[in-house]
Amino acid sequence: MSRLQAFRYYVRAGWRRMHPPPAEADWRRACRLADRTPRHRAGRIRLLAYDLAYPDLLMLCPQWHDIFVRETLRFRARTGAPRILDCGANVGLATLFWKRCYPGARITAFEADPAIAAMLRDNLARNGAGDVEVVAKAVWVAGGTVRFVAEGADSGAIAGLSPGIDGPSVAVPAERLRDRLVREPVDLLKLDVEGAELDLLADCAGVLDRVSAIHVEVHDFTPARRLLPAVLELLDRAGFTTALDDLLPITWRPCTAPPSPFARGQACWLTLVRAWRPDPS
Amino acid sequence: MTAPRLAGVRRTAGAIRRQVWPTPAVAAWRRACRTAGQVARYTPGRIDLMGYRIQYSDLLTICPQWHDLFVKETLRFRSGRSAPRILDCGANVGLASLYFKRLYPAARITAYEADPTLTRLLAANLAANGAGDVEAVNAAVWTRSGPVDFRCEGADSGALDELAGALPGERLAVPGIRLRDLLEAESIDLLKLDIEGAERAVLEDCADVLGRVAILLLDLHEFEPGRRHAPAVLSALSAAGFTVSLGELNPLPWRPPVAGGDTPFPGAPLCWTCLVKAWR
Repeated sequence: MSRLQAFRYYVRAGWRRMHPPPAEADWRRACRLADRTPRHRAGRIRLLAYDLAYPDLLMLCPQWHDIFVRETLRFRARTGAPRILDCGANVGLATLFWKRCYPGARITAFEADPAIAAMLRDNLARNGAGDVEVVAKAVWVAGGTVRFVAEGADSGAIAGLSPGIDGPSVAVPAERLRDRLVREPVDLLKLDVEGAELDLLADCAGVLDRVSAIHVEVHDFTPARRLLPAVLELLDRAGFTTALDDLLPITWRPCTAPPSPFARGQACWLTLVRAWRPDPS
Repeated sequence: MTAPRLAGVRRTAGAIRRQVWPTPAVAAWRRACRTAGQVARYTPGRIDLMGYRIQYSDLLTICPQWHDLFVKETLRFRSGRSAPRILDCGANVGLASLYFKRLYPAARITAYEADPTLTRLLAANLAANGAGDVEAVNAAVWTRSGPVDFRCEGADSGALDELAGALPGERLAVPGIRLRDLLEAESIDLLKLDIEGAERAVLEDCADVLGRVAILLLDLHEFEPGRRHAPAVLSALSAAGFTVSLGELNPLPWRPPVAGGDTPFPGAPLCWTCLVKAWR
């Protein structure tokens, strides 16, 4: 960088810092507030025009940053009313974002944690997305009930699937994702299901041709059993083009790491995998 | 002052301190970047970085290499041996070999570089920086020995001509060397593979001799949306008994993808490189 370029860079960075776009300004405000609030305290906050209930403000901040500042879920639909399944909807930010892009979107939002599902329903109703179908169930490879560890924020998981998340579990109703896909084709399938993603995709392998695009968070928290290789191979075989993004080393979670020749931050990570069908032309 | 605010002040103070008094590696990197901003690309030259005298073919590509190796130390590894056997495949001008020598002065390293011009710089850099015992070999690591066509991009992106996504450059026949033969000949403590898209074919060729490698540091190059390497490579490594981990993911938004650039996700990078670490 030449001196002039460096000067311009810092001036621009300073300007942006002082005059952030509204979504970023609200993110900063939320972070400042989260710094002063004890963890796992439920509350309400206004971000942009949204009035949002949350179980834990600190967890809401990165979600807001990813979805409304960086817009990682941005998606070009072929119709004005894409069919979207939001699996692991949490308090509904992803669904609200898609509704903002496509007011006609037909969305079903699944959330397994009963307390968070109630917030999800309220958030959607309060923010003009009352037509979204909220299903307070875990998406899984079978119906019936599953044991679910309700961590209370953004890491609740089906018991046994997410190392480190092993508190007392509750029985929650489950729905088989495959049945949904058999019933109707889907334009976008979002999976943020804390370790259940490989089992789910494997169960749906035969019907993935009914899905046009997939946005899946891969939670690789067990060094001895990596999900990413199998997830990528499965999507590849189902005819999807894949792209990796947003590799996030998870250094703060206790995970059972075998001895490794590398320094640190190698054991657990989170990756975003996007998959889509190549253009037939 | 509240605790979070104090933490914030500390963070800012730390950032200012690092900016004003950088570590030697960071200071060298900044100087290289400033110099690179002032010279035209692909201008050969020499620069002193933290005591190393480095000859280069293109300073701009030295900067990120230096930052990864000497600032972030992405290739740092622990070995039970004081003289680990290392193959540095895709050695470029030798920064990785020099870094390994810094970690393990007794390391027994062979460095392979396909571009003949870069191989000369590699050998000169090793000799000038106390790593004269590292063997520099002008060869493309591949699935067969004998001559192969190589596109000399001139900096850090030269690749075998037959690979999709090879960038334009002078086409030369260079000696090819079959990695499989090397692994059959001896056990390797660390295999570093940064071979611009040839990694999938090479690893598939070596599938049943990968047991001779203890640690693998692999740069996965994804330039072709319609044919990704990650699924096959990661599965092959898992099948060979490695525990894998992803180190760094670098999206390459400036690089045109080889066909199949049509995606419903405007934010998705279509080309990227990813550092894969694998160990037993």
